[in-house]
Amino acid sequence: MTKKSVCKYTFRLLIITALTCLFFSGSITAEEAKTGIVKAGPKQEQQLYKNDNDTKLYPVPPPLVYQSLYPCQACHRKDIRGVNSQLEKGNAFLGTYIHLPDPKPRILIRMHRDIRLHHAKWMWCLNCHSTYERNYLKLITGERISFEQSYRLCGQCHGSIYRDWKLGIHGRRVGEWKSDGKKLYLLCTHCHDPHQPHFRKLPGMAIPELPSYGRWENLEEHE
Amino acid sequence: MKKEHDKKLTRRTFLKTAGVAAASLAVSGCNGISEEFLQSHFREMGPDEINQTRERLEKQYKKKYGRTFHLGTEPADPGILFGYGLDLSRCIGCRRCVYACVHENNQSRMPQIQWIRVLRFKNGSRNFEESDHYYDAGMVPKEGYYTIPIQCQQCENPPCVKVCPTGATWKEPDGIVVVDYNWCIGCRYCMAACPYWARHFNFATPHVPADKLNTNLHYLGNRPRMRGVVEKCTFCIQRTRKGRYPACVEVCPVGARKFGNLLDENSEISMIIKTKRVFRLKADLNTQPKFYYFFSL
Repeated sequence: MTKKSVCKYTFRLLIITALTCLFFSGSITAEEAKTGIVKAGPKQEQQLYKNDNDTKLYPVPPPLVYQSLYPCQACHRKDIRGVNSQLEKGNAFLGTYIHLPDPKPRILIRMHRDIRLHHAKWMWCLNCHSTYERNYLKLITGERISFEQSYRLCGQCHGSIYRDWKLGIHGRRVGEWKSDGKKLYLLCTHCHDPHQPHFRKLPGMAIPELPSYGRWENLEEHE
Repeated sequence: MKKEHDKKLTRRTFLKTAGVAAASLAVSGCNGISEEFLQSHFREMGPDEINQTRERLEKQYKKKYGRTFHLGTEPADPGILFGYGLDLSRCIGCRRCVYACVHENNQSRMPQIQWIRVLRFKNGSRNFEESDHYYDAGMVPKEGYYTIPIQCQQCENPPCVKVCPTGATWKEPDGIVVVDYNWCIGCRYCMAACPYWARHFNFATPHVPADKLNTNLHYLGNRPRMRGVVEKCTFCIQRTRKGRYPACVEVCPVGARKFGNLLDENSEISMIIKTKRVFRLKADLNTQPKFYYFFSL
């Protein structure tokens, strides 16, 4: 190899390194440069979902159930002597039918007959509703949550929708458009019936009028 | 014979009488006609003149409709560029946005003016010429069809602004294209220039029942219009300048409509552009709309 060709190759190498440095300089952080490990994927994408913790609470309007059947414990009373007491089924207490909750999945015959369950096949009441404290819902971990936090419950299965809901892509919000403005996040259950979440058809609104060429003269007389 | 004719109306006498009439009109100031006639362009008004105009118009509307109005003249805030998102995989074509817009922005009920048009397409068709916006909705969504609502796309490079001979329409610093109705001469060049069918003309005196008027007004937005002016969607300027969502966003029953600041990385619209498949209508025309259609499914 002649001296000239070596020079040529070193020059080319230098240019390539310079170009690569230029290409990556936009996406490499100081830390990455120090350690020499560049994380896979664009940095933006990594940061996008980093706040994916379930603990953050969102301001929501009152859940619809608060206008109808709530509080559930008006009927589903917790036994005053504690849940574990051996209260007999059908024992009347202050006019309320008290019995221990039956955790066996079944079709309800006496109460809540208006609720039609068309969710996942395997689901029934106590998958979501707290067994002993009916004013609350429960997560799969057993954590008791209020109806205001029902999005956490839905998010257990519908993860991608929950993620979009938190970013403001899915669902509805009312209030201020600023990302840190005052706003209310409508709950899943404000739009979807939790027992049969598929959207029902809505009545559409009136057809626009066809342009009324030539009718304006009469209109002016009207006024 | 010739002399007599001259006596009747010479050029000089005409100018004299016209001048005197104009001067007397200006001095008398009855009904604010002269003030309206001498009013400056909105962008050339100083704070005092804006205030005067606001008070005069509020008084005028009160006299006409018998209700108290609030006419806002809020300027654009810095660091804001409004963007809009519309989720086509959610829109069901129920037209609630159309009527929310009509009520919020005091659009004429007779003859009817609607700023939002919902186009319905047969599944598989993407031909705008074969779309229908006079469809009978019935119960929606209807199988076999999909809908694309269109309205002003608030272009960053708006053709309507370029053609306006009087400068009556312009793009605000926050990206909203607005109209000063007092400066619109009704030539409708902008309507011809707009590729999105977004501008609407008041062929007749717009009629809105007084009890149905929205009293929260903005000078550049939903104040009552006159005959012979062009109007258009302003992203509900009277709401968004005060930080609120536009009316169509809040009313959408399926949450298909999204709104936010394009310059804020955490805003809803920025998140949509980052994470979803997005397209803009007629992007090839280089109008650079700030209205993003996207698919969330």
